[in-house]
Amino acid sequence: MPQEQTLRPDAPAIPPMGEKIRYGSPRYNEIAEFYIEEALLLDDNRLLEWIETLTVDLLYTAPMRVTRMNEDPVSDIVRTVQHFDDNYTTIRLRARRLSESRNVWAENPRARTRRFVSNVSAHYTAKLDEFAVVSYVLLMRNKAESPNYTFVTARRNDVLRLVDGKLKLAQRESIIDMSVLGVPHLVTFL
Amino acid sequence: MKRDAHVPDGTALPDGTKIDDLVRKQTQEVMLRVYDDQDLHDLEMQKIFARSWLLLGHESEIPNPGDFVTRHMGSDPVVVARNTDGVIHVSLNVCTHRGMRVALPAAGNTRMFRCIYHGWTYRLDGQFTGAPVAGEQMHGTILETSQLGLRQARVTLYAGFIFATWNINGPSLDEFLGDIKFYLDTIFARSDRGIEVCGPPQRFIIDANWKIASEQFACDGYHVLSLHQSTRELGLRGRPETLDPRTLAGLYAVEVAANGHSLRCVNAAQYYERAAAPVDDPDPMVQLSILPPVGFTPEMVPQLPKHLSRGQLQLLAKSAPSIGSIFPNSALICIYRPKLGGFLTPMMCIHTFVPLGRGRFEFINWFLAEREASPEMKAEMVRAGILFMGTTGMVESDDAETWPHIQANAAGAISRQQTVKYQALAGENKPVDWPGGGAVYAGFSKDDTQWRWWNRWSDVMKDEA
Repeated sequence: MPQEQTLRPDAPAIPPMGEKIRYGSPRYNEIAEFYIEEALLLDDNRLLEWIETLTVDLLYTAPMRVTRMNEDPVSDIVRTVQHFDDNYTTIRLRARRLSESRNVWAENPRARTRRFVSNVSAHYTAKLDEFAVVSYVLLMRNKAESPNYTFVTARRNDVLRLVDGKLKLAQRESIIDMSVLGVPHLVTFL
Repeated sequence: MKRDAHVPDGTALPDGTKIDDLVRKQTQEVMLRVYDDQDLHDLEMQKIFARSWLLLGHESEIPNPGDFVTRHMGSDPVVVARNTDGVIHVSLNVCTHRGMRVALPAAGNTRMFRCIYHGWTYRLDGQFTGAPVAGEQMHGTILETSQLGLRQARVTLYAGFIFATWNINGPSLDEFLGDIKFYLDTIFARSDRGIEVCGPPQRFIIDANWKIASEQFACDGYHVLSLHQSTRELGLRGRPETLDPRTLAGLYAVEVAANGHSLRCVNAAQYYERAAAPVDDPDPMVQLSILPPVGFTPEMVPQLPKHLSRGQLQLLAKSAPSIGSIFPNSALICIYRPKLGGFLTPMMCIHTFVPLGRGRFEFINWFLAEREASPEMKAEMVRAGILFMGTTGMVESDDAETWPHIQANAAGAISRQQTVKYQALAGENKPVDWPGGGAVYAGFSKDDTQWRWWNRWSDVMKDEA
C-alpha cells in the first residue's frame, strides 16, 4: 500500500507548515476574503469565474474514508482511490460540463447550494508566495422539489499561492467526513 | 412481514400477482411496480440474494493473513476474511450467541473475531473458539462447540474476485457464469499476474431499487445517447459536431448474454481510428500489439496467448468485451476513454448494487488494474475512472440522478401499473466465425440482453433457474 495511507487525519497531507499566520493579520484577512469570495462564486454557479481563481498546476483531491477500529495503525483516510483526483484540466472540464451543457442531467435542474466555510487556520510555508490553509466547509444542498437538504462536511487542506498579487488556489484536499456518501453523486465542488 | 405463508407456490405475491404478471413474456413488458414492492423485495432476498452467487470483492483487498472486509450479501452482513493459511472465508457477521456483529469496521486485520457484547470469539474461518468465563460454560451444553461457529457461505474465487453463495449444494460458480466466462476471461484472466484493486471501493447511496441499476448494465447502450450527451458535447466521444452514433459509444457492437449475465463487445476499430493505427490484420496479436487491451502495456501483450485461446484473442482484437453485468447485481466497465489531447486512457471498474430495502441501494465501485502495470499507469487508470465513473463521475452522476425518479414513479398508484418496455429486440444473429457462446446479438444496442436479464430474474423468482 502506498505510504500516504498511513498519514494521520490531523496531519495535512499537502504543505510543510511554517509559522502561523495570526488571526486578524492583513494576510489572514486576505485569505479569509478569498474563501468568502470563492464560496460566493461557487454558490452563484459562476464556475468559469471560479476557474480563474485556480492555478494551472492545481491539484484537487478528496480522499475516501474507510471505517477502521481506533487501534488500527492504518489511517482511515485513503488516497489510493479518492472521490476527486483531479488537475486543472479535469476540474476545468467538470466545470465546463456543469456550466455549458444543457444535458448535464446530474445538475439540470441544478441543486441550490450554500457553502459555509469556517475554522480557517493559515500558515506560512517554505515558499514565500504560498500559504497552507486548513478550513472547514459545510456544503448544504437542496435539489428540485425535495423538502430536505443533503449536506456534506469536510476539512479542506489547501495551498493558496500569490499570483500577480492575487491569491489563487494551488492545492485542495477535501477530507469528507463520510465513508459511505449519503448523496447519489458529488459533482458539486467542495 | 409475512412471507411464504402468503406465497403458496412461491411465485405469487400476497395480492395474487404472479411473477408472470410482472414480467410479461408475450408483450415483453415489466410492470413498474417491480421496483417498489415490499413483498417482492422480501421474496428477492430469499430467492435471489440468499441463493445466487454474489460478487463481494477481490482477494487483493485482503492480501495478508488476518485481513478482512465487511460486506453484505443482500440484506445479510458478512465478513470476508483471509485465514492464516491464505484461504478466504465468508462468514455471516452475526454472533451465534445474541446476534451482534462480530466484525465492526469496514476493514481491518485481526487474529480472531471477538464479539464486543459478551466476548465470544471466532477464528478467521468462523469456527467458534470460546466464550469468556470458560468454567461456567456460558455456551451451554445443548450444542456442540462445532455447531456454534459463524455460518459459512460457500466461496469460490474467479480471477481473484470473491464470489459467495448460501446455496451450499447448488451450481458451481463455473456453471453459474456459463458461457459468459469465455468473455470475462479476456478482461480478467489474460495476464501472468492477473488483476488487482487499486484501493478500497467508493461507496455511496442511491435512492432506487437495485434492479434499476442492474438491468441498465445488462447492456443498455441506448441511454448513452441521451443521458450522457454532455460528455459528447465536451468532445469526449469524438468530434462534437458529428451525430453518428457509431462514433459515440460503440453502440453498433455485439452483445452477448448467458444465464442473465451480459456484455457488450465493442469493435476496437473505433479506437484504432483514434489511435491512427491499422485495423485489418488477420493475426489478432498484430492488432493487440498496436493497441494493447485495456489496462495492458505493450510489454505485457506477449503474455496473452498463454492465457487465452485464439478465439478469445480474436475477440479481444476485433470486438473486446467492454461493459456489462453479472447477474444479479454486479456490473463491469473495461474501456478506453479518449483523453484530452487525443490519446486513450484505459479504465476498469467493477460495481455492485447492494439492496438496502426496496427503494435504496449502496453503490460499491472498485477501480481495477493489471497487477503488473506500473504505478503511474494504475494511477492514471484510477484518475480516468474517477473522472467518469462512481461518486463524482461525469457519466455515472447522470445515472445516479435519474434512477431515483424512476423509483419514485414506481410508487404511484397509477404509475406502478405502467410497464417498462423491452420491445425492440434484434433477435439472435450471431456473426459468422463468432468465437464465443451464449446468445449473440450484433448491431445496434437493442433490448435483447436486458430482456434476457428480466427473464433470468423471472426464472430465479419462480425457482425455474
